Amino acid sequence: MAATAPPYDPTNVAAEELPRTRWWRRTARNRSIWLGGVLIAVLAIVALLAPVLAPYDPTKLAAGKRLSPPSWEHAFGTDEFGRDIFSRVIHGTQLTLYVGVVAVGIGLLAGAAIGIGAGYAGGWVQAVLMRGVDFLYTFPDILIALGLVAFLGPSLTNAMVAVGISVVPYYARVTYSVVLVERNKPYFEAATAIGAGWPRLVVRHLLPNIVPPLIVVATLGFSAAVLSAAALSFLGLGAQPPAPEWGKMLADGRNYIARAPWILVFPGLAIVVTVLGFNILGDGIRDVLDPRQRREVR
Amino acid sequence: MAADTVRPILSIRDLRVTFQGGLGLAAAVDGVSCELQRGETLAVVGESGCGKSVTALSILRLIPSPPGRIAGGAIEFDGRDLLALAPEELYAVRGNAISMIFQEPMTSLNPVLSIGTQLTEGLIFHKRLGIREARERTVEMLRLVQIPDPEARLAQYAHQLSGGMRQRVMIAMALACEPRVLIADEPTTALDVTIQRQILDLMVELKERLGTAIILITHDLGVVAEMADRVAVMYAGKIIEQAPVDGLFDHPRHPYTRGLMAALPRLDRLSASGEEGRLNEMPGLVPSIYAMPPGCAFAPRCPFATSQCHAEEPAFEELSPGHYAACWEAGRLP
Repeated sequence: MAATAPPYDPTNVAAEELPRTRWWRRTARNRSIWLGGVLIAVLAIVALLAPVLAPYDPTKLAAGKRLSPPSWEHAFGTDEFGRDIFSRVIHGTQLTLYVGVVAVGIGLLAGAAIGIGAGYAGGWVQAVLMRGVDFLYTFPDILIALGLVAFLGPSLTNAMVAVGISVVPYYARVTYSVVLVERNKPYFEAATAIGAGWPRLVVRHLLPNIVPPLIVVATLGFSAAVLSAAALSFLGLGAQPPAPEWGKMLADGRNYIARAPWILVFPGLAIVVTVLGFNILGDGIRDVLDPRQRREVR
Repeated sequence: MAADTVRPILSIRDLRVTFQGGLGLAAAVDGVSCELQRGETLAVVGESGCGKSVTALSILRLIPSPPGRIAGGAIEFDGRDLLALAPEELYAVRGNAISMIFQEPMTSLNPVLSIGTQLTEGLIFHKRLGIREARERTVEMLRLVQIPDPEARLAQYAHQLSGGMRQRVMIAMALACEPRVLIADEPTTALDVTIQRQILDLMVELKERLGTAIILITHDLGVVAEMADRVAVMYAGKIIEQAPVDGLFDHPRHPYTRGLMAALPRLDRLSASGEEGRLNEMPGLVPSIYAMPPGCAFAPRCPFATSQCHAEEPAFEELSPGHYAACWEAGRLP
């Protein structure tokens, strides 16, 4: 031990790393965030630039080119109506991200409201809200979504709403559990003792503390929502022809699986990449935000 | 005491707080009455679970409910019954006229809000200050609690401060609105001794400067001797002795209080060889609040207990001016 450490100076705050810097460093070193983030970023760019990137009109029929295999002209081949699958997959990205954002948005907002209400109010409010959520939780998500679409009528908008509603119980439960933990921490009691009324307690003190876990859950939930919407479209209850929705493309192409597998392979791959991207990103965010799961990057 | 003629700032009358537990209804506070004069420091002492914290939390109605419930009594502050206030009136009292310092400085600050945000909060909604004024006042408060470089601290977060510093921030927060009553629930328990010292000195200084009355909850009799004007000793949900601090230390009347004093380790009792004598201890345990004995709650542990003690609850009587105790044998004790 030749070198002597500088004497400890408790007033030297500059020596202490700022939390923001540390947060960024952890984020920058996290491979999951990089991989997932890049995948999602590429998808978002593709969705935004779809009209520019797509070489053909995704809905234009071409009777002469039915079921042609991938070629220089049609990178992903064409479907049973001669439509360019590459262009359809690219335009489908728009629909898929849109569906995901709306469905997760509905689920998260309604679920968080229920969870916060139940967790903060307690008593009979909590009992009524959470027993209602438990009741909905007993049904599989897709069954609730199916029922709602059957009731609302098949369309992509209704499918988004239905998927959103079907995941409300999930977000409500997660929010509720986080709120219970936070509201029993001493800082919450201290804020009450300072004289904060309930709106201030919820918005100012509670919300910032429950947002990080909700970001993780929403990112992971995004892929589930995309899958559910694709499933509804596959069943004919979501996007209607000729919309280039990936689930719908799978459904329409399944009769040709032996003769023209490319009709299914490419939209299927697109779904896989999207779901994977959000799952990896969600895992990464959780690693960064949750100190218990935090691990050193190898 | 001359203070008897002045109207007290806070008076608790026959407070009863119950908790619904797995084994039934338990009275954590069972008929507590006491008064706090302006500018006075009242220490409330007793062992863990005797109801001192519950009494303190009841004043600001911070008892978690359910399972807790204020089952009876009145808490009068400045002529108003705090237990009868509407929620908005209560919010206006909390942190403004009456504020509280908690035991856990490590976790009593919100981890995601900056110190400045939390400190200015009360000033903004109680005193209707603008953000700039509130920040100026906050810097002043931080300087008052001797935090170095207060301007820079405002932008920092709780985890960037040491324990003692966090407790000072809590004190600054509690005092920001110049409350008339400060409730300090074991404010120094979680801190090491040198920091304890500084925090206590600080409270004395602030009390003198701002004229705040303090309810100091502690189980540290050393702190009591130094800080308090008057002491209330609690046992099993009741006040069993209450006296001016000198009277209590010089001549404790209740056997429980005597036991507490005897259990204090004292340096002057070391033997000549430097060997420590064995600490005195009180035999037995506090009775379960689900199964209170019919007479005096301390009777099962009391070396002086008679058959009357086991059968009838003693009255809380004034034995000498300002010195009250609830003990049948108080007059006959050696």
